[in-house]
Amino acid sequence: MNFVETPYFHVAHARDLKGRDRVLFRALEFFPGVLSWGTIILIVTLSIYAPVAAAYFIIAFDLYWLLKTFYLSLHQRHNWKRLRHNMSVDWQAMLETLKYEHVHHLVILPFYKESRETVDAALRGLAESHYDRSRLLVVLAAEERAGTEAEAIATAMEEKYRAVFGSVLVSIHPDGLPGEIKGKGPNITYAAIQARDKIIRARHIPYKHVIVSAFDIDTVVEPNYLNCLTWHFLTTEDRHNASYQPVPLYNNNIWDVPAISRVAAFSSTLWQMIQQERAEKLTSFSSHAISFKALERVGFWQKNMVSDDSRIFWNLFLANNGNYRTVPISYPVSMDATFAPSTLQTLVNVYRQQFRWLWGVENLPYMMFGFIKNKAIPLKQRVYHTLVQVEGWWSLATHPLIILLLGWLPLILGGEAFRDTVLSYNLPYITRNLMIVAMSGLVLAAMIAFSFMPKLPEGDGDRKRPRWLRPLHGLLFAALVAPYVLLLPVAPDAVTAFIDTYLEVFVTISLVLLFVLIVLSCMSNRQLKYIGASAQWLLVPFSIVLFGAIPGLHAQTRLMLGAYVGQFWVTPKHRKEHTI
Amino acid sequence: MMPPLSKRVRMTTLWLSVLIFIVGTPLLIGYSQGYRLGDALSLIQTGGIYIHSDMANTTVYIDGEFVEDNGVLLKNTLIQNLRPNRTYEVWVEKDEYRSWVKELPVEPNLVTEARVLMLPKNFEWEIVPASTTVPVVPTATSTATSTLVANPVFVSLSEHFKTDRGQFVVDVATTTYAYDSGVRVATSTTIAEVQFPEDLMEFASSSELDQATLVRERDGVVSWLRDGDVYAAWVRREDDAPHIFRDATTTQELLIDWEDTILRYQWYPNRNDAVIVLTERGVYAVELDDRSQRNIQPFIEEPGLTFRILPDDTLVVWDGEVYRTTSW
Repeated sequence: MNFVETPYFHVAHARDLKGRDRVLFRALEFFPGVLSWGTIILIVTLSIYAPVAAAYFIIAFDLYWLLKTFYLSLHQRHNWKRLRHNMSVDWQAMLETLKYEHVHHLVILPFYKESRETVDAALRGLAESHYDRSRLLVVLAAEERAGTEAEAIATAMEEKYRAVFGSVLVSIHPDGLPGEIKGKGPNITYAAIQARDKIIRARHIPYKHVIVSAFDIDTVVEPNYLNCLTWHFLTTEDRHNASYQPVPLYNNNIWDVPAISRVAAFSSTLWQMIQQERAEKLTSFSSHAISFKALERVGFWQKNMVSDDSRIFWNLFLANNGNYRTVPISYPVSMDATFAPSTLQTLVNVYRQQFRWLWGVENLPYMMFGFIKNKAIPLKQRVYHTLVQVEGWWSLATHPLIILLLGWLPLILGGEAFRDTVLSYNLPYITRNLMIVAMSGLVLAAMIAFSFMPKLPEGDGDRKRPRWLRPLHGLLFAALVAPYVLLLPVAPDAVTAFIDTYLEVFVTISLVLLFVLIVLSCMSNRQLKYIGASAQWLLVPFSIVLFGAIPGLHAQTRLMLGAYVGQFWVTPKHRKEHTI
Repeated sequence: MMPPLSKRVRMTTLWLSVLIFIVGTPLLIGYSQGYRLGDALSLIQTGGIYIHSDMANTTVYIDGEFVEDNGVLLKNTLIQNLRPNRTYEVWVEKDEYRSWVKELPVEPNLVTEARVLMLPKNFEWEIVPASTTVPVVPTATSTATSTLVANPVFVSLSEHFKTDRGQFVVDVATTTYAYDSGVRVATSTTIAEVQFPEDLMEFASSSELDQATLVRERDGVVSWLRDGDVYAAWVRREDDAPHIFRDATTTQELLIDWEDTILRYQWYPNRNDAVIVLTERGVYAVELDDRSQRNIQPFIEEPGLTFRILPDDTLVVWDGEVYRTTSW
């Protein structure tokens, strides 16, 4: 019996199973959380009872992190070159060397309560595509639960673009269908079935000639994207046994969002770039493409769980007994970075989006359970993917914490006997020095990210600048600094003594800050924006903890406790007017 | 088409990284534990010395060799790569201050800690006389333009010198009754009594602290005066002791035993490893750390003085006529 026909194929969580299968699946749901928490508890315990062993572990870990940074940076740099190369290729000319006229693109654009402008921007991108638009089948997948406004937007867009594309179909996903969560998976599956019944079958288009792109509604494609995708599809051996993955660039509103949101967005992009060079580890993520033939065979995306984008990869991997992969196309699609009207709300939304992505850990027990049940997959592949996935989820939730917080624990908890050792004095120096070297990876990442950032929109620099950064305030800051500067040559001893005695750290930091403020106050808004975009990378240490490790642990803990996420949290799409 | 990163490059980098990790980890751990190459490529495990300092801009020497100049922010000094099983003379100096010198032992894989005690060579003393002159307006009966009045600062300082008792002495009010011509008369009096807190009771009893005078406690270190000597001990047995009570050459109870009788003492401001003591010769700062010779530095050397440290860390010296105050 093919694995697709087993009752295990569309299992979301342990509660969908019975008996021993349920126990096994539940144990696998515990696994990532236990591993991550176990690591943290182990380091804390070692720091208290065996601080020397903890210090050994941390030193070894620091070196491992440094080497891993270099190793991944190598991939990142190569993908940057490949991405830029692919963006310069004439894909139309490339396609002309192949027989491609039969290939149709079914683009599914699911949306909930996003604005008309957001939907329009996605469609406008497709309309500007260089691919033959008559073979572009667009489905506007609205949700019934979003109300009549969403339906009205879909209808209006259908009318606007009907003549542009080969077909524009509006599908309204009914609310409350049995066996479905409220989320993107059920919506795009419903839309794909509607497209199959109303367009593909009606027009007698063979399934194998249709590439399905499941986009987020904020996805804006480059004019050459579909040509590039088609070329990769046609030149891939065993093309129906592959997903096609672009690189998500969160550029649509990148200049509008706070620095921390930009860093979180670019972190996701940079990670995807690394994975593009390690295709054997790549799974589908966010906006991706799959052959309709492959999708139809497995019943499209799963409807009873949140992480449909990566789950579809594992569905197809298991259905094809391991003969399935993701093809990196190293071509960007542009999406929205998380943004909300207030900075606090933006931070909350970034966290919630990261949590939703990291809830993808729910695929780990499904994958491992599938590997146990589907013995037709070669053992080597099962072991390899298990190790890769387990290491990935474990490192994501624990490594930032080890590097930034837990590495200091032996010094704090190790007791005086440990604190007296040369090892305890050297531990922070070794960690600091290795991390400084590892920062070179961050510098490379920053340069790559900067190269992808669009030019600051005209007029953006004319908008209101922060009250505390106006030129007039530069004078005020200068006035505050002046006494120190004037006093220094006149009475250096007195100043030094004053600083020594009272306010050493405060005064030093204040002086540095004031000088920085003076410089910043004298800059134009545009210069300030570019300075901010460079300085934002200093936030990475906080970002990887706040929006990596903590939501990662949060997700793994919820999975461990069986507190399954039952609803897909739709990231609100906000853009400032000038970016629409 | 530009191909992905080649498998050969990836594998080479990966295995090279694995090799560096396998070779580098023990080397790093060994280095962190102080292992260094000695003579004839022998491996020795070195030790270190860590000098805590409250002073900025000091210069540190070890065995007469310059180690480093400390700036405004980084005051402490870590001296590494010291051959073990011998002592080193550490010398810390700063312009206008008395130098601090200490001989410290170094053990393999251990860092010996010490804390600098340095006083200015010259103090600026402010004299507070008993009375002060204030201007007055001449009147019909007096042509004087000024008059002597009691100095309020002097009066205020006198309050601090009225009594001299330990930290745990409290006033207890008692009432006694007597019969006077058949009438019961109550008399209230206040007596000073030593009351140790709960966590000090056991130690106080075993060390007979009630027989001592000027018992004080700061951050787990209890000190007291007995027979002209100052004693100190670490009383938080469940916690790790500070380095002065921990290092091999020290005992659990430290003793400042001079030829001169110590008349009184107080904690050095913000420290529990140094005291200010009074002898017939003057007022001195003394470190408790008894490894090698103690650093003893004078505030003022005159006979017949007494002193107090005020809550704002001002040192006040009384010579029987005027108060002298200084801060440093």
